[in-house]
Amino acid sequence: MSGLRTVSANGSTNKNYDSVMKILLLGDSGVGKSCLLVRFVEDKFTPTFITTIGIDFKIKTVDINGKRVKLQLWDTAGQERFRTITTAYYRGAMGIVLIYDVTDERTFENIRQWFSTVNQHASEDVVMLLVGNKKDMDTRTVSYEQGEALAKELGIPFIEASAKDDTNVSEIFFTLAKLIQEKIDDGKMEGKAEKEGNVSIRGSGSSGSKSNCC
Amino acid sequence: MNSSSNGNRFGIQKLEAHDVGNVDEHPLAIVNGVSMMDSQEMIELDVARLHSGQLNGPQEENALRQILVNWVKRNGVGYKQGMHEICLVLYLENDKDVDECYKRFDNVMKWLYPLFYRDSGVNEWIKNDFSPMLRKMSPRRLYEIIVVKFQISHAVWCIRWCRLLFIRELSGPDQYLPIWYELFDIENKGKFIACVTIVMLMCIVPQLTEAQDESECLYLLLNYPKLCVPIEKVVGWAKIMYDYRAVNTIDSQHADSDADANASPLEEEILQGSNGEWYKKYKDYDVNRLRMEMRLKRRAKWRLSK
Repeated sequence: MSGLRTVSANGSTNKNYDSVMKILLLGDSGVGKSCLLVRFVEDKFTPTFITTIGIDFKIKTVDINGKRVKLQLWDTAGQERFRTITTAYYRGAMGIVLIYDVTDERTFENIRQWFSTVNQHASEDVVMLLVGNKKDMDTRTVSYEQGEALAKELGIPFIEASAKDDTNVSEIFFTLAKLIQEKIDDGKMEGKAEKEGNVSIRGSGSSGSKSNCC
Repeated sequence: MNSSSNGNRFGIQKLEAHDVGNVDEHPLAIVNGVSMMDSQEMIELDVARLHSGQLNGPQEENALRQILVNWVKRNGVGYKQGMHEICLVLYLENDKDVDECYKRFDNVMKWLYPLFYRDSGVNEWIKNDFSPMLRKMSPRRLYEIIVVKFQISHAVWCIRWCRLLFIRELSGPDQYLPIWYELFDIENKGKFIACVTIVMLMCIVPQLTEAQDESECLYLLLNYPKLCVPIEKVVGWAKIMYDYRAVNTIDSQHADSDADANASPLEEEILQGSNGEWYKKYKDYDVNRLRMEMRLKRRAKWRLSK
C-alpha cells in the first residue's frame, strides 16, 4: 500500500513517534486473533496458538503518510465477550478489528454480538474493520459475499485474510491505521499523544520471549 | 487445605447441591444457566491448544478434557479459559492420575474460582488486596509509576498473573510450584498472591523506571522479564510482606502522607537483593528524576549512534 511502511516491531526503535493508536483485536476463541497479530508484528506463523488469557500486548511502529505512528495492539481473549472486565480494554481504543473464521459459521454469526458490545463500550468515533481469517482453508463455510454483505450492513470495511500464508495481514492494520489517521486529520477524532510521549523508544525485548533483566 | 472463607462456595447462590448423578448428560443441558455445550467446546479447543510436550497423545488429552468437563458439570459453573492450564499442571504433578488430579483441581478451584475466575473476582481482589498493599509497600516507586504516572488499570495486566497463578510470568514449574505449595497452606490466599505479585514487580523496578511511556510499561507487565533472583527469595520476601501486613494495619487513606518518610524497608531489601548494582546507584533517586536521566541518556546514545 503506498505511503505506508513498517518502521519497526515491538517498539524497538530509536526514532521518535508522532502519535499512538490503540487497536483492539476482537472475535471468538480460535478465530486466529493472536496468529494475525504475530504474523503482522513478528512475521511468524504457528498453526495452533496458546490460549490468550486476559490480553496480550504488542507494539509496532509504522509509517503512515510520512507520520510515525506507534500502534498499541491489544490481543484479547475470545471468551471475554460479555465480561465486565473487558470495559477496561476498550478505554481509549481508536480502532477495532472484528475477526471471524471463514471455516466456522458460528464465529461469523457472533460478529453482530461483538459489534453491539463494541457499541456499548467503545467511543463513538472508534474505527472498525471486519476480517474473515483463514481464507487459505478449503473447508470454508462463510463465503466472501456473506462477509462483504455483513460489513456493508454494519457500515465498516471488510478484508479476507490468512495469517498462515500471509495474505492481506499487513493490509488489515495499515487500512485501519490509515482510516484512523484520516479521521484525526479531518478533526473527527482526537489524536493520542501517549503519556510521556515524543521520546525515544527503547527495545522492550523480543515479544513473547523472556529477556534477561540482570 | 483451606477452603474459601466465603461460606458460599463460589460466591454465587445455588451452587452447592449438584450431585453428579443428576446432571443431564445431554450436550445442550443448561446447568445453573451455564450452557454445557459452550463449556465443552471451549475445553476441547483450549486443551487442543496446550501443546504440552508432556501430554502423550489423544488419550491423555482426553483425560484432561474429562476432568475439566466433569468438574464444570458437577459444579454448575461455566468453564473459563485458564482453568485448563491449572489442570494440566496438577495432572502432571499427580503422575497423570485422573482421580487424584480431579481432587486436587477441585480443591484449588474452591478458592481460585471465587478469587479470580468469577466475573468480578479480579476487580474485587485488586480493590481489597492488591491496590492498598501496592500503595503501602511501594508508594514512591511501583505506585508512582504504574498508577500515578501511566494510569494503567491493574485489571488489564494482572488477570493472567492471577488466573494462571504465575504460570506464564515465570519460566517453568521449578519457579511457580514453590509459590503454589506455599499458597496451598496459607490462610489468606488472595493476600499472599498480592504479596508475590508485588515482590515480582519490585524485582523489575529498574526496568519499570526506565519505561518511558504507557506502552513500554504495559509491555513489561505483560511480558515479565526473566526472574533475576532464585524463586526461594521471592517466596521468602512474599511471606515477610504477608506477615508485615498482618502486624502493620494499613490505612491506605494516609499512605500519601507517610510515603516520603517511610519508604518500606522491605522494598529496599528486595531492591538491594534483586538489583544490587542499580540500587547502590539509584536508591535515593526519585523515580521521576531517574526517568528523566534515563531519557537523556537514551537520547544521547541514539544521537551518538547516528
